[in-house]
Amino acid sequence: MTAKGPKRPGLLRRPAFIFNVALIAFFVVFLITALSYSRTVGIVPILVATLGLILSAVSLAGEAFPELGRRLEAGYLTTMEAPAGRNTEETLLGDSVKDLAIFLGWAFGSFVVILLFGFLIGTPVSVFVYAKWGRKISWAKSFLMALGIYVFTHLVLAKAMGLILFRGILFGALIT
Amino acid sequence: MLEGIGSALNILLTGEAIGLLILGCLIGYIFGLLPGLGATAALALSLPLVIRMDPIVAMYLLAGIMGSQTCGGAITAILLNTPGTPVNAATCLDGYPMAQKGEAGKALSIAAFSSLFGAIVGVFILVALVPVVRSMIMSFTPPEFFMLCFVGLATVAVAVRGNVIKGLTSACAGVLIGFTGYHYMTGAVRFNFGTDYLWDGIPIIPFFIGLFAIGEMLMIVTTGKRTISRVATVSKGGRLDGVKEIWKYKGCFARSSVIGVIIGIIPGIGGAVANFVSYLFGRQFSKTPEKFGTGHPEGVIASETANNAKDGGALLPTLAFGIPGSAEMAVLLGAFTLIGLVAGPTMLLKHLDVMYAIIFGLVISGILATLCTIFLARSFAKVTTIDVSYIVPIVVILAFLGSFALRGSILDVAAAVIFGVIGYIMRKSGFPIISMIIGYVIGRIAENAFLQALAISDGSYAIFFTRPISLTLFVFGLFVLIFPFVKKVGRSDG
Repeated sequence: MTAKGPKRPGLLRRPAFIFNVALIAFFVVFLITALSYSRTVGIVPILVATLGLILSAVSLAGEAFPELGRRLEAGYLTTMEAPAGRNTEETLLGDSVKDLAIFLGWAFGSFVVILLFGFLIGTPVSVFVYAKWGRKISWAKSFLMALGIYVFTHLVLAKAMGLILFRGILFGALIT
Repeated sequence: MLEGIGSALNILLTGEAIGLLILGCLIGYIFGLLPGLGATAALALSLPLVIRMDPIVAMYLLAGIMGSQTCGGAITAILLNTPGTPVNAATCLDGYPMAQKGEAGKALSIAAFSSLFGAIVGVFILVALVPVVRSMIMSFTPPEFFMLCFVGLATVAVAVRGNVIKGLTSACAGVLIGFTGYHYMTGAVRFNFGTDYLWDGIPIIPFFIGLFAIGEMLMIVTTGKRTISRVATVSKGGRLDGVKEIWKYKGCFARSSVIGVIIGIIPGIGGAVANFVSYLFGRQFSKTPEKFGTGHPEGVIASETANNAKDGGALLPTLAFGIPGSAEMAVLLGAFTLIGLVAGPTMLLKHLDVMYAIIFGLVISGILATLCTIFLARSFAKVTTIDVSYIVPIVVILAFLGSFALRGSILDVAAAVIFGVIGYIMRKSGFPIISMIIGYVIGRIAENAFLQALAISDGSYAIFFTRPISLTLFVFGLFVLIFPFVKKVGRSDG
């Protein structure tokens, strides 16, 4: 009688499976593109993409068939210091879907704000929004964080280092 | 050699270099203290700062970061049983029990001085090996360089955490990402998929910053861990006990230094392995192996000496051949590209000042970090009680600014976010990021060497297998790749 281990998440919920599929697509695209190049330009990418395609297919098979996957688990450090909690049994989102969604939503939103209003306005606003509403930090501390990032952006990067910061599509148009 | 030392020292004595070295030391120390962050993320975030710097000054900043991170990480390992960086993991095994026995001050002193002396021994061995490597470089032609890249990639693929297949797949993906944009030899544009953005290739800063900094922030956010939430206590006294203990266990110190250097030289392995291997060897050869794990000074010496000595070793393949010995060295190579330096044979022949700047930077940063640890450990340990909610948005915004800084392109910021998500998925799925990074860095070097070798041989592949060094490297690379599978089959048969 064998003890039942924790239930494996479905294939489509496994990050290693998803990433393997993405890698196969990546290698196929690169291989097809490389085939259209001249010999000098294309030979090495063709070799590397072919090798990558074979390896990712093997790795994908290892994900789909756990027994095969265990046979493929070979490496000098597999038993020595594999980091806890980062194995193929994990789901992509785990228990922190909300945190991940907040973070990615905020990162995308920050990018849009910076795109529209530039770094000088966008960075403190983004930090403030994340601190106040994403992490429920007090108004005063959120404001201080935003002020700190503004001072760094304005004084250190723009003034001291002479970096020309992106002004944003809207803000840039307004001030010109 | 003396000219290189003089040039590096001259620049070190300017206020700018000293200021940046101290700043780098502080950044590395704090990033080392905070679990989840590390020198690689700190180095990646610092890349935009070095763009307009004098190369030597830039090296002082980067060496400052590299030289202090393990000292910072040792504090949390000893006081809180939470290694600040993976390279301090083995320090917990004896450092934390020492702290529990009321010997925290002594353990910190041992860690600090072991780190410092380990780093010094590491760079001494590096300096001693330079003349040997310089003469060796002369016998290297394109076939040997290609095979060296092959060995580098093979070693990285099998040595990193996880399995060989995933390591190799990551490396192949990294090589192809590095191939986007202009082809050096023909000027043809490859893999731009009709976009102007990819004409110059995938930019190095968003690539590094995305994979390391944003990807790590995503991991921190999704683990839900807010803070270590404990205030550490450090007993007074014992500040110089580290020196006495190192003298007492000098055999362990010497052995750990050599192990650190050797592991540093092997591409892709780095300090995380060096400290464990050194710890295991320390226990194996100790007169009192039963004391290991119960708060034994020798355990702390073994771990902390090796993880600093490895920097000297890792610099050797990085500078001499352009093949990074660790993730930090891969970022360092990225910095070279940004400031117009080319790692490889010319580095040890024409730019010894750069090497010495890194060496001086590592040693001075190590001294400063040691002083911080033995005098200010208690204050610095409070950093670990900071809620990551404060850190995450600041690191991400710095990552955005850093990605934008080099080319002034807002699309680079988007690229950093995309690579951040890729880095997160890779971490979750067990695909090693370091393989991808090193593939990206050495892919073009390998391709150039491959094409040059074929040009020399009129298109005959025999050139790779008829030259003794090239053939030896090929056999070694093949052995490195096959050995884990042979070992596994042997084990299952036994």
